[in-house]
Amino acid sequence: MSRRDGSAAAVVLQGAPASPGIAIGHAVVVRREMPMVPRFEVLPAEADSEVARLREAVERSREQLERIRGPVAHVEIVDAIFRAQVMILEDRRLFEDAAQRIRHSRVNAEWAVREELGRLEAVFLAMEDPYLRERLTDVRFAVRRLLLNLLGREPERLDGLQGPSIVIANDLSPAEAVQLDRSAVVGFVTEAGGRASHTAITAASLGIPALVGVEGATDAARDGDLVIVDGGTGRLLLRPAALDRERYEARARGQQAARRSLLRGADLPAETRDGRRVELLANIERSDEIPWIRRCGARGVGLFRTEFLFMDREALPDEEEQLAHYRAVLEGVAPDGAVIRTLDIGGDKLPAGMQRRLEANPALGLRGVRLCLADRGLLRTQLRALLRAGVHGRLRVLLPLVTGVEEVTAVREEIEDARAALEREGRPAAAGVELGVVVETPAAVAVADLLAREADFFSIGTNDLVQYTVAVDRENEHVAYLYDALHPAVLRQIRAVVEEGHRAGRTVAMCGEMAGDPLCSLVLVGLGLDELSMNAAALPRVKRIVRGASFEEARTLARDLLGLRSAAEVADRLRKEMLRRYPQEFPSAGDEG
Amino acid sequence: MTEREVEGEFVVASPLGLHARPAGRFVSLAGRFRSEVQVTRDAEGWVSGRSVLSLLSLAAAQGTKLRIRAVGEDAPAAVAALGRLVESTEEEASA
Repeated sequence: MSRRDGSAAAVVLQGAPASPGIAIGHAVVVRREMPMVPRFEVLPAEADSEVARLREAVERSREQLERIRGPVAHVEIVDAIFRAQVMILEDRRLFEDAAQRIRHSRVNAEWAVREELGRLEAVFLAMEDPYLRERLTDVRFAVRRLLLNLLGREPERLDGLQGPSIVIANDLSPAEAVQLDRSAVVGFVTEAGGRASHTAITAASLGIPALVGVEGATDAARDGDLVIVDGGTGRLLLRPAALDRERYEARARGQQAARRSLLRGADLPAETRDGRRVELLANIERSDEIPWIRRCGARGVGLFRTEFLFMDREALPDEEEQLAHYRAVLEGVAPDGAVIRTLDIGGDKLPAGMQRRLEANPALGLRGVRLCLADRGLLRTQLRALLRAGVHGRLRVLLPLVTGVEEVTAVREEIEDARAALEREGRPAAAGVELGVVVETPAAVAVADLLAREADFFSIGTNDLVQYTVAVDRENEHVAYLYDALHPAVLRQIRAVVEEGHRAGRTVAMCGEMAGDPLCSLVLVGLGLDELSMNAAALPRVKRIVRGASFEEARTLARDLLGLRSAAEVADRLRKEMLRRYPQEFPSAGDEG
Repeated sequence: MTEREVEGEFVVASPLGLHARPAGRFVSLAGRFRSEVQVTRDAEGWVSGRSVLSLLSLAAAQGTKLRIRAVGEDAPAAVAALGRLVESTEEEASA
């Protein structure tokens, strides 16, 4: 086959399907190799600083992974993949053995790490079990990142691609897969990996058609070739004949139609049959998610997490930088509004440049609004940026981890001060910005009547509320079974918050995981919530459920569940009721093992 | 504080073996105990229960017998909890 002239022949390669769907686009060929590392002598006197350099590179790699993980951390399996990567990086054996090599063999950190990798490769390649052997890929991705950081090189990102592109790589890490520009990359193909590879799992969760294990793909494909990825059969078609191309284009159109039906009803209002309206909004971390949440039918942003702006960077974002982000969200979502939550981080996870405090129990420590009130400079900068952004759209501000009215009052005073200061400076600042609280502590529930007088709206954060209510750390294997949003204690708290909020004429929203769980949608409507904010992908289904019943039915269901005695009883009854009412929405729920 | 040493033998239950994610969970769980945790397979050399790479290098496929040893004041609880993890098949349904 001649590859020199422009009209190379069509080629079909077979691989393993990793993520379904058909993608048609232009090839972008990528090669990722383990970097070449230099070897030089490290004298005993320099060993300490060489080990320190290794430690810094580990830390930098870890921070990079945390930053990449941020926007996808809500997808449980992808989150687990990233945590495994971080663990490999932090592994004491890798670090200690490499450090020992630096000291005893007098070699530089890069060389020591490369040698350690060689030893690990030998161990893994000797394994009989193919699945365990495949884990070497994870080790290689982590070590490769570490080596690049040691060499002072930025791990590559596939930036600036013109769509529609199909990335064809010898290997692609889950981190790179997550960072692919979704507006340009319509599919990807790797030579390495099997279906169980973490890159394959990541691709499936991202919904990008993908193939793995396509041998020879990077040799056969050239940049710019027209290629077709068939995620159903695992076939990669390079430079297909016109007939094949037309056939696949027709199939791709059919799949788009099917996808549209998944989004079926996304543009209809979320109201019950008897006209009770519930606003469905989306949780986001970046303004570029807005086109997607719109397609899912979100009526605005119910939770913009600002932590993303603060993590993994040398200096904290200044007022102008924050302003740009908040403004992009508000302008992007207009004419709908956005709820922006002030910085919600704790002592165990602070951005660089902030003093880390050792806390025995970070969940009960200096975090959420407490941290902002303890570090007024941080709070003021964020409030100023928010007030300035508020001129450009409908802004509501949300305070995390509130336990009492004084926290709301204190922030409100800061807002007034910030507004006055901005006025003096001649900068436009939003007036009458609504200030709400995340109800996520039992204390906030107990004083909801008092908070309702100080705050303009409530947003129930179920993840923390459940944890604090049933006194369970869900990461703790011994007690995780007790973590259940359907615990009667939690349902009663939701009811109480809605009642107190409504008594004072306040909007009551929910922004935790429970808000996007279709199994819970009807109960939440019945409990009287006005707004539900969720991961946008869950939104069309939740909307269909809301539209499929009357408010009266929802209230009856909520009342019934509130009469039960345990989480297990509630879950059992709820599942039965929802399966009976919506068999088409829970098709596989009946045969889950 | 009394130093205690406890050992137990457990069989890897997950069809995929003790791969990266369960090994990661093992390491975080081991980190919650004060005891030093070590693991071995067929008594060939013990490895640290706090190193995910060491655990992976045991190549513990489904059915592999692992011995877990903990030394420290909370050793019995550590061995029991880690043993349960090794013998659990949870999560794999979704993986």
